[in-house]
Amino acid sequence: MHFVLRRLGFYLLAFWVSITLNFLLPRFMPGDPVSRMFARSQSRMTPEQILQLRQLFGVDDRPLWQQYLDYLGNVFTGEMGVSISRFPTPVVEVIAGQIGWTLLLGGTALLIAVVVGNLLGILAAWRRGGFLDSMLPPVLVFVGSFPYFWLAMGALYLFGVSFGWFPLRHAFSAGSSPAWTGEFVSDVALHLVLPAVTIVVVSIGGWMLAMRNTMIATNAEDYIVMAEAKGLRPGRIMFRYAARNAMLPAVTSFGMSLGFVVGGALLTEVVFAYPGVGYQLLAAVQGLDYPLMQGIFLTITAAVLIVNFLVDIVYVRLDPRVRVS
Amino acid sequence: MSVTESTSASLGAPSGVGSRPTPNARPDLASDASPPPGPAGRPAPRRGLLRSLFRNRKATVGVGILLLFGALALLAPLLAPGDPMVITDAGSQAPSAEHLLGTTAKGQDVLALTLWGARSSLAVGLLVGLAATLVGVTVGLAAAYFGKVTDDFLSLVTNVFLLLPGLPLLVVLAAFLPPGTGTVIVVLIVTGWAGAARVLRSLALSIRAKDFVAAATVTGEGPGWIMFREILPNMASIVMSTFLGVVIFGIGSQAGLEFLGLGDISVVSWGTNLYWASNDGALMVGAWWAFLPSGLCIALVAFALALLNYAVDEVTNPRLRVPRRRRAGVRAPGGGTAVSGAAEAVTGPAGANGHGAAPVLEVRDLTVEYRSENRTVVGADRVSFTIGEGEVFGLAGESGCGKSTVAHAIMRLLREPAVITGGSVRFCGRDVLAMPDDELRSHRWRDVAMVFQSAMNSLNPVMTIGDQIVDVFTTHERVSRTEARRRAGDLLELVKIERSRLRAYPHQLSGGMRQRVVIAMAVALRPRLLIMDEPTTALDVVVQQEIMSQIADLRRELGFAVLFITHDMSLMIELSDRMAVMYGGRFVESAPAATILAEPRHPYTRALMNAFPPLTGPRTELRGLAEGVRFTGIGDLVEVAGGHWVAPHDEPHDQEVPA
Amino acid sequence: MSATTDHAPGRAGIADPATPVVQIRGLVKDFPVGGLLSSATFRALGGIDLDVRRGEIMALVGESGSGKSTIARCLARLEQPTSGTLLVDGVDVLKTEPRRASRAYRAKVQMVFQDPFGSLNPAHRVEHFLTRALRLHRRTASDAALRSRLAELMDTVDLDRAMLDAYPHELSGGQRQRVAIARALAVEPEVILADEPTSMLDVSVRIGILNLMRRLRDERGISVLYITHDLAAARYVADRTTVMFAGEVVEAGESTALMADPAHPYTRLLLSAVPDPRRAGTFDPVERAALRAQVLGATTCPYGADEQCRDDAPVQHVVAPGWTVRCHRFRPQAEVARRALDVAGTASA
Repeated sequence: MHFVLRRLGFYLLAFWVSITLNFLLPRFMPGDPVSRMFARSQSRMTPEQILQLRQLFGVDDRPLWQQYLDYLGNVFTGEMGVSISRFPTPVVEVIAGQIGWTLLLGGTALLIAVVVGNLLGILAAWRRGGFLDSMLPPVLVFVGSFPYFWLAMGALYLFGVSFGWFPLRHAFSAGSSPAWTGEFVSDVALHLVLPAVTIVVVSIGGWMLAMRNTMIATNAEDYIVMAEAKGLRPGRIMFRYAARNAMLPAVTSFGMSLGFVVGGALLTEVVFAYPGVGYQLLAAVQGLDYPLMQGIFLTITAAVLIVNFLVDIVYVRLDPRVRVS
Repeated sequence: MSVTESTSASLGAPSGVGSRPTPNARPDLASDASPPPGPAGRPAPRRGLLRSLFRNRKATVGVGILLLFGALALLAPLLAPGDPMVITDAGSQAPSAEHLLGTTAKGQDVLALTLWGARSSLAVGLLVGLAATLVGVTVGLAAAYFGKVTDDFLSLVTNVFLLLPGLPLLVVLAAFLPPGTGTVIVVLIVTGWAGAARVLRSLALSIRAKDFVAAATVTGEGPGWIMFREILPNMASIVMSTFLGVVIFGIGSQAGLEFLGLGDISVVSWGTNLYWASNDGALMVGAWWAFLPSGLCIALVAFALALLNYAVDEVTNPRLRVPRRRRAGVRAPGGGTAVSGAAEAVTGPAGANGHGAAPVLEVRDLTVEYRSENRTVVGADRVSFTIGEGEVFGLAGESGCGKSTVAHAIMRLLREPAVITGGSVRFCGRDVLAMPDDELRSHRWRDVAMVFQSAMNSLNPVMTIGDQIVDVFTTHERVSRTEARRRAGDLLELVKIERSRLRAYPHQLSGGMRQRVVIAMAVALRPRLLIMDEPTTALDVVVQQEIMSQIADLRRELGFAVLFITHDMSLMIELSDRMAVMYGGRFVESAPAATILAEPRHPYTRALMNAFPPLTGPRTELRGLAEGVRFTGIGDLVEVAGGHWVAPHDEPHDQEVPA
Repeated sequence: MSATTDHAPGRAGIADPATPVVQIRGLVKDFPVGGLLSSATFRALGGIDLDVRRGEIMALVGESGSGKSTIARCLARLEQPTSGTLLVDGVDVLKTEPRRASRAYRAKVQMVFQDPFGSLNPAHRVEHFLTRALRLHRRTASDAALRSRLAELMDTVDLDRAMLDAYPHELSGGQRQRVAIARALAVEPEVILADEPTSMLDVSVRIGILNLMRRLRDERGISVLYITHDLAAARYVADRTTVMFAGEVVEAGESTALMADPAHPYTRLLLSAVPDPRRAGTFDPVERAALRAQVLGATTCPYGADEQCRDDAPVQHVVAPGWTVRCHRFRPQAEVARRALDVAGTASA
């Protein structure tokens, strides 16, 4: 319990840092993004909205500490201004409409990559010198060296444009509206294939190699030799003794690498015009929509921190040594 | 490096007979002459990281690709067909003789763009890598130097930055800064340093805790010297792999940022090439050549860096290298039994077990080799002995002498690169080396069980000890889990541990208790032979005494035979009926324990005995082996008295001199 | 216990041969346990008094966790004592150089570590270790002098001079430990703290290291604080032995006498547990079982059932000249009488 509370404190701190970063950026960065932004869209705004944005970005005459406290208050009440590129929708609403798609794409891809990658790593380390151990890693390292978005473009060109097997863009066909019907679900699944496979293919090598290397270290442990001496069946030794222990560092690194995977997923969304927050982020960049950019950054940060916290809770279940009595 | 022999070469010239050994006195540099300590392998080579890398194929390929791209980038002005920025009306042309890689929608030459793009991409990657690694090294050394509070703070900042999702942070930062390549570099360093710092901080702290740092302090070295001359040189390989990792991150993230249009889109780089290709809709018109080269280049460079990184890992941790497929631990089929048949002429102390009954274990001419690519080292060399019913047989020797190799071979637990190349192991007449896998599995633990040196390491840290004992029952017998659990509880009580401890994890028990759990587990199936490989070495003497007397009690109750392995001669003589002394994979002496105590014959046996001075009587000066003394060419044992077998040797001149 | 006079801070002590070279008084060391905000501590040393005389080997024996290495690390100034005084050559060093040890102090007190695989930096050659020690302490004037000094050091520790060019990983454990000893000797110290110098070595070369320590004492008058868990080795090499248990000194005296008839039950237990086939049957198994049962459950005193130890610290008794014990169970009068009878018996026999 002590461990979990300490981690919670740490994540709150990390979140506070990212909020503060968000607060400081527009106020202390050279250049004047705010006036650029206003120049573009001031004419459409109500005076009220302008005032709110001015306060969010520090173009007002309150003292800095006052601004900071108000800013913190705004963030925690979900008050992040209106989006400029999707004027006049509030930022919170824009994100709420799209986070679901990102979770679907990122979650599916991450789950597949982690499960398959770790399984491959376990098997490779168990049968040293076999195909999985000798041939697959270099191939996966090579594939993993491609930028996410480039592979996405390749897949889109090959399987979308040339062969026409998969749809080119968006998360569902134009004209169909979201509903829990078999037709719509399979449509969504079909749209999911290319972007998800891209993410899986690029990221799976990292999971596999990390698992393989920890498994190799674990296999040299005395308790594995002991398990063999006990006459246990190989499958039981591999999973219950070796993989069960090798998993622990994998779980820790899962949280650490989450940020990278999210980044890759965002770029993939851009290529497939997948209607998640990544695609919206690009739109925000192009439309000089600073409130939306900041909102997306905070949302993704919060999501990553929450997942990390969940991972910690799982870790405590997995490793009895951190369960402080 | 040349080292002259420290003492005169040999005491007696080998007089024709091969069995005449020469206590050859030469300094034993490196562990070359002694067999490897075990399946775990040797420590990583410290020197010659670059030289080892040179021989690594992955590294050669990686460096080759990197050199190629480096040359292309440097020579871009010479190699590129014209100015990449020149816009012509020959847009979207497929590769042709005129434009080897085709043209973009704006009519720019793709080859020229790709070559010029290498300059910006590689330069940014390199800069980001250097800067982030520098920050990482600084954080690491600062944490190690200032310690506690500074370290806590640095570690907190590092971890927070590491958690913030990279790309969104990059985007937000880049959006607020004035666009340009400088911005991209700064932003990449800001988001990339934490990964490097995390690795290098924990590395620096672990080196800081090493004894050689304390030793330098005691010698009188100042903090600056310790940081830069003691700690830093030992970080080299990790600093290198961290640097490579950050360069990969830098090149990839730069491309990602520029692809989103967040860099300076007027600069030619692989990322902006892809931005323009995507912006111009190259894909939709099927102009694959516009985006293929730049992406491929990024991938190739990242791949080369990853290969190099991987090679550094392999050189520092040789275990990761992919071994050639070979069935470990068992001799090549067909060859073996013939050898054991030929060995029937008794040439050792084999027949002489003091009990007369049929032997439980019969090891004959057992030979184990450690085979690596370059050389073969003999781990056990024609070792023969028997253990009678209920007998305690001791195997004494120092680390690397092959005693653990023998123990592992008996249960066929040897792994790569150890291979049994000859001899036989018979358990109650059954040929253990010829057993098929499933028979071997049921033989293990039911007939022969083993207690390993370190109880901490031989228990699975994430399973309760109850589950680990239950595993034994459910694997070998048809019992329900409740029944297995009940019997597991009985076992714990047998070694005087409360039943309730079944639910405990290994880390919740003391060292002595853990070893008792392992012993309980070992006798679970009432095996006829228990192998104990240094069972108490890691324990304090009072706990050791406790464990040994418990084993004696169990033996009285259950009547199993013991193969007892230790380097502690006093302990061995107290406990064993008969014993053998092993050196360099060979037996040098074998006799009843009391005989060894009364009249050790071989100089090596005497040196071992002398390492344990008596606790009573007058203090006399004892002699061990002089530094660097080695025995070579040890011959077969010869019986010098009833049941007392000794390898032929020269009478040494100065092994034991009364003070 | 001994006549310690106050020295003016900063004034070097007079090397009076009668003054012990190291005097430790009331040494306490607490280690913080728990996290960042926790103020909990673990007391590793609970007020140690210990002397190391000139030209003697003093063995400090105890089981792991008894605090014996902590004493050495405090003396080597690798740990900052919580309280207490360290007198070296009669100078109260925690007063004269409270933060970091001076070079002059380092020149007097050297240390040899347990693990020769960890105590030599793998990045340097053997020559480097010795040269640095010689240079830092200005023990050589010219290059020629340096070379002859290096050769001399290698000879002292019985190593081939050609090994000066070797890297640590090219040497065996025993050879490395000899290099570590040579490094300590290079600064010509008065005391060497040897922290389990043989426990990581192959058994056949251990006695050689112990003999080297004896030789340094006999030929150069170097004092050694020899930390070990091995009573037999302590008896073999040390003039006097101090026994520690749970951060306290329980018994101290001349090695052979102490081990022939220990006065403290813990020392008796420790001794009884050491396997020694030559004195098989010396210890009554019933007594050993009883001792064992009492020790295994105890964390402070083997006679944990004896509440007295917890409430007030036992007084130190003198068993014989130069032999002390701290135990409530010790009955001075009866013991002195018994021992006197023993001595008389031996003399008449």
